[in-house]
Amino acid sequence: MSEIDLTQIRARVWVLLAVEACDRAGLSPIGKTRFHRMIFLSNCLAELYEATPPAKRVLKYKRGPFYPDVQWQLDRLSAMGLVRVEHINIAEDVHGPWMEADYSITETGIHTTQTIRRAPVGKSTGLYIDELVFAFGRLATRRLDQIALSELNYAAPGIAEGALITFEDRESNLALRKTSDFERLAPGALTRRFREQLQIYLRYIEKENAA
Amino acid sequence: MNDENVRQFLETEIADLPVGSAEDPLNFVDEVVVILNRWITTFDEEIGLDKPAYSCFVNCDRVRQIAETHKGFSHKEYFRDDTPQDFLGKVYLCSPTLQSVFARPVVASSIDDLTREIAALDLSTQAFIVFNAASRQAFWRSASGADLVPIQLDGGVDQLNSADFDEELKRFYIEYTATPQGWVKPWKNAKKLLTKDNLEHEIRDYLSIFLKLKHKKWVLVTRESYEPTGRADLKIYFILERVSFFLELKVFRVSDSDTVKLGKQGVAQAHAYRIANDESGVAYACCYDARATNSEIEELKDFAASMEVRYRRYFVYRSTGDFQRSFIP
Repeated sequence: MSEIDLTQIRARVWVLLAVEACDRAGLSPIGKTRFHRMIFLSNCLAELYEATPPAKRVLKYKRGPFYPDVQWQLDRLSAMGLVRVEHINIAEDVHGPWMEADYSITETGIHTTQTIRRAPVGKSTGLYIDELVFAFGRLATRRLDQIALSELNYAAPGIAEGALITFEDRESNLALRKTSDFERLAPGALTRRFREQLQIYLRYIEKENAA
Repeated sequence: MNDENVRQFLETEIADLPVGSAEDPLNFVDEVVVILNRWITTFDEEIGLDKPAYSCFVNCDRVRQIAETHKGFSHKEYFRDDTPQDFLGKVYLCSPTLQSVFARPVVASSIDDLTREIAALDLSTQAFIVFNAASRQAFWRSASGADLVPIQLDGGVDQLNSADFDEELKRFYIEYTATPQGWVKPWKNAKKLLTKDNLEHEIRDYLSIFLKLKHKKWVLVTRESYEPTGRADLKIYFILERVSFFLELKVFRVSDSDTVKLGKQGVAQAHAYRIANDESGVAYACCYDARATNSEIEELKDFAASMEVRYRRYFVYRSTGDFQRSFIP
C-alpha cells in the first residue's frame, strides 16, 4: 500500500482552491501563465496568514515565475475532472516551444472545494487563498499578467535568470519585509491587519510595475 | 520608494481598501461607485431625452455561469480599467471584483424598470446598484435588504475629522434609523414594537457604506474588524489624524430580558477592542433603542463613563409623528 504524501495533498488543495476562487473572483478561465504568476504571489505572502505554500522555491525562469509541480497538479486535477482545460495552444515563441491553456473549475471541483473548506486545513488555507485571489482580481486587468515580474523578490537586483528564489526564511523574504514597513509606517491602520497588508502589497507592486 | 514616499502611498491606498473580507458584497458597492464616479467625471454632459439614461449592476458569485444561462449577454473586456461611452442602457452582470463583467441592452425609463429586469433574471437576491445618469443618482440594495438606499456619488470629498464623528453618527441615525421610513426600515411591526431580526447587522452594513462613500479619502472603514479581543462591528481609522475608533452596535428591544446587561456588554466589548489596539483610540457603544419609552438608562451611562467609552443611545421612533413631537418641550 502506498503512503499518503502530505506535501502533494497540500499542494493539490492549494491549487484547487485557487482555481475555484478564480471562478468567484471573475478571473476564470485563467490562463496558464497568469495562474503560475498568481501562485507565485500567493507563495510570497503565505506567511502573513501562516499558510504553507505548495512550493517555497521558484526558479527565475525566462517566461516569468513557473512551477513544474503546480503544473503537474493542474494536469492531475483536470484528469480527475475537478479542473477544466480549454483553448490548448502549442506554439513556438522567442523563448522556444510553449503550451498555453485556460483553466476553470468544474461542478465536481466546486463540490470538492466545499468539502475541503469544511476541514480545518482547507478552511484556513481557503481564507488566505480567497483574500489573495480577490485582491489580485481587484488590480487593473491590463496589469494582471505583469505585476508578478515587479514583485520585490522576483525583481530584486542580483537575482539573475536561472537563480533560485526561496521563501524559506521570513527575514530574507522581501515581500514580508515590505509589509513590515507598511505596518511600521501606518501602525494604527495596519498593525496585525494581514488582509490589508496583502492588498496594499499587491497595489504597491502594481504601482512599481506601472512606473 | 523611501519611507516618506511609502507613507504618502499608504495614505492614498488605505482610503481605497475594501470595507470587508474577500467576497463581502459591500466591497462590490464601493467598486461600482468608483466606476460610476469615473464615468460621471469623464462624460460630464446632459443626457438627451432620446438617449438611454439608466444602467444597473448586479453582483454575481459565479458570473460566467449566470451570464451563460441568460440570452444576449456579452463579455465586456477591460471593464474595470476602461470608461466606455456606451455605458448606459445596459444591465451588467458583474463578478464581485468587476474583473469579469457581462452586459446586455435594457430599455428602462425608470428605476422600477431596472428592478423588474433584475427580478426577471431571477437575481433579486443579489446586491445590486441602479444608476440614473440624467439625475446623477444611484441607489443600492443589499442581498438581504428590501429597499433601495441612495448612494452619494462624487462623495469622499467631504473631510471627516474625528471631532465631527458624533455629528456624522447623528446624521446617520436621523436618515436611517430614527423613524419607520428611515433607510434601514428598522421595524417589522412598529405598533407591536417588533424590530427586524437582523437589525444590528443591517445598521452595521448601512453605516459602513454611509461613511465609506461619503468620506472615502479621509477614513478607512473596516466592517467586522478582527481584534485580538474579539470582532469589532466597525473600525474607523482617520487617515490624517492616525487615530482609530472602535464601534460596537447594539439594539435594545422590548423582548430583551435585561437591557442594562446588554448595554454593559456592548460597552465592555468596545473597551476591549480599544485596549487590544491603540490605547489612544476611542471606543463607542452605539445603542439603537427600540423599547417602548425614550428614557435614559443612568446605570449604563455611568458604567460607560467609568470605562471611558462613548455610550450613545439613539431612540427608534414608532412613527414620524412621534419623532416630530420629540422636539416639543
